[in-house]
Amino acid sequence: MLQYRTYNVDTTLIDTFSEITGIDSSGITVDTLIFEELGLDSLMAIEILAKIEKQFDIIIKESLLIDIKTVGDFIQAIEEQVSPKN
Amino acid sequence: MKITDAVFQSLATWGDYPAYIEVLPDNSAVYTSAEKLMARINDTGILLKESGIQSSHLVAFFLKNSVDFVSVFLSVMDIGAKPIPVNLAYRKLELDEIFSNSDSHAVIAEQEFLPLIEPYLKNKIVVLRSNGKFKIHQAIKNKFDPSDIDGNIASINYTYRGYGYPLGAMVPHGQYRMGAEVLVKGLRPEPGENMLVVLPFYYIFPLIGCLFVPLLYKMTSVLSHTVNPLKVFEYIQEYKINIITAVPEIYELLYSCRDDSVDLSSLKAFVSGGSRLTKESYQKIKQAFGVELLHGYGLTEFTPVSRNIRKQAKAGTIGPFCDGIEYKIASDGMDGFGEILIKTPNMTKSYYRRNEETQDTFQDDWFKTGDIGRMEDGHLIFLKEKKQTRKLKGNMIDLQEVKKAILMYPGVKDAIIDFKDNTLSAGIMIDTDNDIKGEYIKIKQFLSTMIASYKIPKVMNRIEII
Repeated sequence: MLQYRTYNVDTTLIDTFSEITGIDSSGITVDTLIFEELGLDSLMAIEILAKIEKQFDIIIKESLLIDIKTVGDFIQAIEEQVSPKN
Repeated sequence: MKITDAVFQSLATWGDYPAYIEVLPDNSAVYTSAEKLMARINDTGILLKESGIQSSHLVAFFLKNSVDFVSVFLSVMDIGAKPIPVNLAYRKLELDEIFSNSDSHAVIAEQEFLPLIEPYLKNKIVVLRSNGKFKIHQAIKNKFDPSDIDGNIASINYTYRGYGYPLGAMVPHGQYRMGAEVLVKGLRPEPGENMLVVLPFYYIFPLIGCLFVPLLYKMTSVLSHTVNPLKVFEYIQEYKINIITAVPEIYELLYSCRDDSVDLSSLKAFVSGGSRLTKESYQKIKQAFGVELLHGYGLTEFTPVSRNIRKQAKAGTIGPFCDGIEYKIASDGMDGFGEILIKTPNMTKSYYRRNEETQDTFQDDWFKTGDIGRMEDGHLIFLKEKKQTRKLKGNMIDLQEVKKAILMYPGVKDAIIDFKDNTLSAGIMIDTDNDIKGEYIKIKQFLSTMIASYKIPKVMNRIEII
């Protein structure tokens, strides 16, 4: 949970999901299914990843996108995998 | 002349620079010289023959981009067998049809795809790739008759025409050769220049534009395992990339994550194709990166049909027709728009084991593209598809196939598939008392096991049963 607080990934990620998918952030929760409900495709997922990497100056392994089902999974995976560039 | 002979001639007179730089997920890079590539092609050929693959065998490919893909693809062609590059996003419905139609003799696949393709492997030669090495998983010798496909056919590439199932375009060697030649006339690359490869090789556009063009014209291919724009920018700087070949949506992605601090001065041209590039996107991308953006148009049956030429590119067009292509616009109206028909000795002329569809599509030596366009000042303008297919982010969607997949879901009585503003939607008539939102989620989950994920409608609505 330390990284969760440090990076504030959840709010930023939900805002980024909203920006990329065009769905209002108020309709996105940690339980939202990213594929079935948000209609996220692989290029959109990469764009979200890149924007998060840029914003927090971190590197995220793309392989963590495999088996991600919900927005919460996405947030958790990023929190677990983030490794500061330096 | 086989396309592989031309590649081998090129490799034999290569310059003092690598043929391939493969950038791995951990950012390390593996350099492969032309000489080493040739040796790998020969070694792979020995393994394939040992497995039982022989001339005229049909060989389904389930491989990701890598130097291994290149060496095994060329090896299979060199043996005289016919590769069938399969889209790695395909699932049960597409695979059932491809394996049933082609009845391939062999399969070469990444080990990780074994669970997906296992149901189709009975009585087939199977070669698997794991940790960068090929091994024979199932060898069968002298058990099958080779197919009766003409020797001038190089490969079978599955595509769609709106019938609801894929068709195996029988692509001749001449198509690869001529396709590369006409692309190069528009692009004018120099030997030793570097091309960044981000598109999967299983489509015809990257096969010609990213595999054969660099090999025939002695360019170094830098294979990227990602389209992450931050990595792409890093690779452009590190490997002094001159040319990128991609679909418009990838250029949009680069645009959306652009960074003025990155040195992109090595870039000369973006080659674009596979889906639409609007005039507005063309202008903003060209302006943002300061490089030429050369958009073009092609089909599995022949690529490229038209492409923009350096220093003469026009926004909103798909360029002039390529040299050596005869064309007609079958227009019956005043606006000049009509179906685009082309003729060249090097195009695909039939679909494998599909006589009726072949006769519908190829008439009097003309190929009916199923696309509508018109000429304006010597440049072709694409209007829309006449056939029941649509392009989304470089991927082809057959509307009938999507409908067929939805109708397989229990309780669905009918479905109407629509594509507007780059969004695929489905109106579904379903007999259920369940919460409809939950039902849409279940339908999408069901579809993800049946068809490629990009074919699953993003929007679903209920149509009432009358």
